[in-house]
Amino acid sequence: MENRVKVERAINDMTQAELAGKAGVSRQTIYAIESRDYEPSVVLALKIATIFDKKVDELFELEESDWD
Amino acid sequence: MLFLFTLIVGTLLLVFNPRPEFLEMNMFAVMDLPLLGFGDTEYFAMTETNILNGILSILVIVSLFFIGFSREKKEDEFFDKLRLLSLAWAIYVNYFILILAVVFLYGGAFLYALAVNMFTVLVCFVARFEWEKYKLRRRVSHGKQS
Repeated sequence: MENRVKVERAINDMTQAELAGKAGVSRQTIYAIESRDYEPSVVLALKIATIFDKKVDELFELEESDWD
Repeated sequence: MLFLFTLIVGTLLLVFNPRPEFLEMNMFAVMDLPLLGFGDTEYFAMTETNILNGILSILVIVSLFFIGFSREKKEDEFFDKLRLLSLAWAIYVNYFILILAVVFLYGGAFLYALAVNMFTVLVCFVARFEWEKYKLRRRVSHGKQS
């Protein structure tokens, strides 16, 4: 799954630690999401979208391989 | 750290197997099956045994549980997943090793392997989980903070 979390974080001038603090998760989790090692739960995805004032599908996008 | 210390000391004592006399005592056994085949099997009876191995086994198991399942500083869904994947990996590795033991070990060696097998799932799990956390910490610290 593609995500724009890192891009939105840069636009909002936010560090990984700051985003992690607002979302209630560890910095390692934000890092793993941005490096596409981890796909967040629906709740976490909604939280991140809310923090950036975006819709979830503006931040996360399915890829062809996700349908396998 | 206390659990790590208990784990190390407990494991060493299990390997060297001392049998201090003051720990020889009668214990209640649901089932007592003579190891060498001499004597009758007894059920729900008192049996004389050295309890050091039992105490150490429990201490080692509890220590491994606490090391592996204690909460992280910032416990979240990602660490839950990491823990679950590490546990699954430990099960695969443990039973692969057990299959090797079934095929290649016999007699007392096989019994020894079964005794060690009491701990190897937890040992594999803790080792894998700690390794995954270490790799992640290293990658995060080398990654850009911007």
